[in-house]
Amino acid sequence: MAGEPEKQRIYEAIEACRPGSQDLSDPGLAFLDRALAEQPGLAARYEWVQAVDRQVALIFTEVPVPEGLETRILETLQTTHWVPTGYEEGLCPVKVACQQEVPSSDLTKGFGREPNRKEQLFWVGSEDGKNAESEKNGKCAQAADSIQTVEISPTQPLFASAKKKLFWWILVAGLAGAIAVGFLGLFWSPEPQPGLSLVEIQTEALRFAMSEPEEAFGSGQPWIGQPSQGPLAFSRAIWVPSHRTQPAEIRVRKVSGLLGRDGLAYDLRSAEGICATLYVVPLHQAGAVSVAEQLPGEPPRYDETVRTGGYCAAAWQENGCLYMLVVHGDSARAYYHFFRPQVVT
Amino acid sequence: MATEGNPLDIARLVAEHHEAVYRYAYRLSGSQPDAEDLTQQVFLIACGKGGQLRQADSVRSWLFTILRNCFLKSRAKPTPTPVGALELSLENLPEPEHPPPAIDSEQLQQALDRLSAQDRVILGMFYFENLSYREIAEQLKIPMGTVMSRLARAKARLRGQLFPQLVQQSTPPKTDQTGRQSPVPEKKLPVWP
Repeated sequence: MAGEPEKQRIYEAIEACRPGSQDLSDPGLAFLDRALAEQPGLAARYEWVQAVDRQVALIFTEVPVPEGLETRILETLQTTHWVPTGYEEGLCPVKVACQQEVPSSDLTKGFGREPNRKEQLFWVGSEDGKNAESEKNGKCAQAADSIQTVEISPTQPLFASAKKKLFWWILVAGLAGAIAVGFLGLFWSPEPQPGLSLVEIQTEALRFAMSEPEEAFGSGQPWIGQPSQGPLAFSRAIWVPSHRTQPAEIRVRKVSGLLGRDGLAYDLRSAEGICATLYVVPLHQAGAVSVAEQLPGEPPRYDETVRTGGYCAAAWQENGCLYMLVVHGDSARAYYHFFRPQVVT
Repeated sequence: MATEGNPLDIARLVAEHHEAVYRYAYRLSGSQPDAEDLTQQVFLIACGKGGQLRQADSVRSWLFTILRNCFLKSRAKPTPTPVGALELSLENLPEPEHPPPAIDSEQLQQALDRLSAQDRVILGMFYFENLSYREIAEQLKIPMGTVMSRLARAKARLRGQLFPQLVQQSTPPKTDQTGRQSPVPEKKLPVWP
């Protein structure tokens, strides 16, 4: 009879065998294979565990997927500019090279000897793209209508004199246009872009926090400064609950690339063990993406935050800095945990 | 497959894998809103880290790894696990006389919900991802012996929730490494029938 350590080893090896697999032929489990051959009782238990595992493995994947999930994911990704618009659920993206013969009056769109090749993204009804080819032609017509980009067929008659005349006209028009734009630029500046909205900033903060390595949290130096003092200062609105026996902890570290900016991250851990990271970056930084001017001057209400997957993100501006708080918890209690009562409206 | 700045591949990534990621997320989190949030989170991170993916055929495994990390990260306060509470000994195992009782999806989820996050993750890797103990060890970067031990305990706890009628043994209350009694009440866990 095997000793206790050996029995434990056999037990764990039985549990490590996946149902319907060849795990018993694994050299590391050869001892189990031998034991099963020698002990019928053990083999019966092995079969029982395998039967349970087969059943559990089968049921494990039996989860209905909610309708519209794919669309919602893509909408979220669109918010963060990852996916182009025009997508519909159940469709598959294909690139379509468009070809269409055009009348001679439209030759300017494809000026030049070489065909003007362009690809346009379409969503076609095939999960694996098998039907993509068959749908190309129909989609091509729509493409030409919508994007006004065509390929000139090589067989299209082109008249050299007409082309030459056309070339000079376009050159002259282009030069005139450039001069006009330069002249106008002296007296008129275009409307500034609106910049990222509050929701987009919060979404970006959430994405940035999630993409940070787990060990980054709390890796900085202990912070013992005063709120609202110095550049990229700690926010006056934030309060980390502490207790005599379990003091709160704040550590600060540098971050870069958040909304194209360099700044600081204050990792907060309250006495209750609730964690959050307060990111502080300059509101304006050369070369960085602009943010909306009308950002709130204090932390937004819970229902105005962005929440996902157990996280909650809020953003506001304060003393020329952009503050983004990402709380490790998506409940209102976790969010308000870090604010002084009089600050939250 | 998915590279940063390539919207075409990202859309395809979502189309091909969102269902599997959601199903796994549901088994880990135990609720539809949490599973949906986790799924969205996975693809957000995947988009941001698409450049890290080197092999197109390992996309699903890569997404599952992100999912597991997101899930564990969302459980900031780990559920206490009664370490060493199980007597997993062949000596205590009676002969199996009956086939295992049938269970359904809801029963399985209820049983999973009562387990710690760490148990759910290793069970997910075993049952959902169909990874061998070697592959689990590689992914979690822990020794194979540790994987086998953790897996055996997690499976015993799962069966304890699934088949309480098969409880045959009790184990004495155990103390954790600090000498305190475990806060989780010890249950009689069936090992094998």
